[in-house]
Amino acid sequence: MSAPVLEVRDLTTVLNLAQGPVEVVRGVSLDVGAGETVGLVGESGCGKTMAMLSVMGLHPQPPAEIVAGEVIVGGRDIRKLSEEERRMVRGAQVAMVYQDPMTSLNPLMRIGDQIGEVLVAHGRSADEARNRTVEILGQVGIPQPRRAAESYPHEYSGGMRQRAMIAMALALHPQVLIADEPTTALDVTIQQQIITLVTDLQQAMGMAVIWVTHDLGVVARVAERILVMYGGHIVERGPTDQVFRDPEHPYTAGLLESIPRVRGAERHPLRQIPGAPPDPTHQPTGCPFHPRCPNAVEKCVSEMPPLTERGGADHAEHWAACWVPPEEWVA
Amino acid sequence: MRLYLVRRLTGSLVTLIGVAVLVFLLLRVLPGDEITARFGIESGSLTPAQRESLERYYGLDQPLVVQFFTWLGSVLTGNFGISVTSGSSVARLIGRALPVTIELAVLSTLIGAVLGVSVGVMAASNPNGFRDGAGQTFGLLGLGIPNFVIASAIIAFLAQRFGYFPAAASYVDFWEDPLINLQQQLYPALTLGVALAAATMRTTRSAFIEAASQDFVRTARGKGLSARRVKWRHVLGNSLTPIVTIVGIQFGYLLGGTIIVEEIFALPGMGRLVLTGISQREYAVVQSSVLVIAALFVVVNLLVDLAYARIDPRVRLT
Ligand SMILES: Nc1ncnc2c1ncn2[C@@H]1O[C@H](COP(=O)(O)OP(=O)(O)OP(=O)(O)O)[C@@H](O)[C@H]1O
Ligand code: SF4
Ligand SMILES: [Mg+2]
Repeated sequence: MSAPVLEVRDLTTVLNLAQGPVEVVRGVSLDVGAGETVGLVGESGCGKTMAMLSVMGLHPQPPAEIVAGEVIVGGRDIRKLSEEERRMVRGAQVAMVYQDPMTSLNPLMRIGDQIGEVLVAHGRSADEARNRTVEILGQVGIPQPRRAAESYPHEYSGGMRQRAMIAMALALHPQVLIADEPTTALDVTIQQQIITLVTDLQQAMGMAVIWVTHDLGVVARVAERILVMYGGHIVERGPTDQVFRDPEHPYTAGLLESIPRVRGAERHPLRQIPGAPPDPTHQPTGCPFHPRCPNAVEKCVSEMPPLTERGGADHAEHWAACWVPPEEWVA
Repeated sequence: MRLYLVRRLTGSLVTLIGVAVLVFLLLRVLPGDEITARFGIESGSLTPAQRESLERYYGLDQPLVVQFFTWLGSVLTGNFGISVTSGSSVARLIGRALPVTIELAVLSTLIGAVLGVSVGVMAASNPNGFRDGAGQTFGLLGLGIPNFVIASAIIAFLAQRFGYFPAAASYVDFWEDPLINLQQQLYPALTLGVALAAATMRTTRSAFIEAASQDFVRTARGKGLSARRVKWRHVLGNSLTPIVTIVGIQFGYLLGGTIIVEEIFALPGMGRLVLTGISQREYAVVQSSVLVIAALFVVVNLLVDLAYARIDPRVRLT
């Protein structure tokens, strides 16, 4: 991996609820190298969005609050920067595309103005902003970009809006793009177009992408490395092909078994992980996965397994947080 | 947009006609007619023949529809009739009272809107914080304390501090002496403005908090915009519709005249004109004033509708 453009160390975010603080992001660490694609997967509610918003400093305050950790961009911990310095990082060095393009654009402002605004906020002149806006709208595949800049969000379909959001995020050539399930709200055919668009732009611009999704098929296609999140923790991480081939965490194994495989000879019956992810207000003791884990042993109930490197020459950079090695799994 | 405009204009026109019909009918329904109005109790001693010829003279023998259009025609040409007690034309009376009321309405609305929106944004910027508490207290007090109490407090303060008695001098028009005029208008405008600000503040606060929680505000912050721009452009921009609604309602309501405040501060506005008109049974005065006030109200509503379209492009499609 090349030198990281984004490093997150032990990030912990709590929600200050009526019943007290509840941890939803629990000691998350990750590195993203220049130009690399990392997939962040996990079931709904496991804290993916909250973790990414915390990285951006966009977690909803209140109720959310970052209580520990570092977010290092360009060698500086942005949590230690002044608000003004942090503002200069957001949108310019790290940018984000959100889950719901229908609500993520200001309905009262022209698309072009919403893109131009990013450029002006980061010191470009109004003229530069106008030209760059039209240029980037063209780059994200919006037809007639000059006219599109004059349009309002409600005149656009969901797919077009998401393209506009991508244009907005990429206007300043950020080093890292966080794409938080940018396709879940879209039609299947549009989903494919957006995925292709982001990978193409990534090639052209050389930025790193954190692709947040619960679609393992997408991760298999785009991501070199994968991070698996469960109950606010990263429970497994490693090169995508390795993790897919030899998952070291029962949760990852469960996720892999629940994706339909159309290709390939071995057609196994589709299995869902029984139960539901933990409600953050009632976190289980020990390993957060133990109430659903077929391999759980006594220790799992009382002690949280640390994220440890898995040995072996063909397991480079492969980490998992589980007490029981795959050889001893019952399922 | 053109369709929107045509729709609103037609709507306004229909409302205006409805108002005219209503005002016209109201007068016919009330006991007494123009003859009673002119002759007072003496009308009781008119012979049937005298009555009949008078009815013919005033056109009261015509069918109602004809009467309506005759009346409408004269109103549209600015002929509102004559005030019996003062002897001057009703058009002149309204012409004198209306500017006083419009000026007061504009000033009060300005004070109310600026104060209300700033306190509302201040309160909403940190919900449940200290400033929010202060803002909300201001809102409750402003809504709870009656106008005449605020007015009396202002008057007592002015009298004690500056030896100035707003009611002592007779009213001076703006073009006669703008400074004295503004001084005469300022205190009643403040009185009204504070009460209006309270309502505007509450509307602003809740609209702002609602808008601040929307996804696009997160997008705006994620773009690295300054906190100021996020607040004023994105959040306040998306709170404007309810704010314009309440300010528009307030302004329209003030155009009807404000009897208590006009009385306390001795302002010869529409409120007083209507009040004296009623007590002196001056039908022409009351009828015409109500018509003018209603017409202005319709115009204000139209302006509010246009403001909606200006704020929100989606409205233009409706
Ligand atoms: N504003 C909020 N107030 C209270 N709880 C919240 C808020 N936002 C998120 N949560 C809770 O925080 C936890 C993590 O949510 P998050 O949105 O990060 O999950 P996610 O992994 O992104 O899920 P999804 O795949 O559905 O997007 C969830 O249990 C959620 O209920
Ligand atoms: S630590 Fe135990 S409960 Fe947790 S995943 Fe591993 S085996 Fe299952
Ligand atoms: Mg999410």
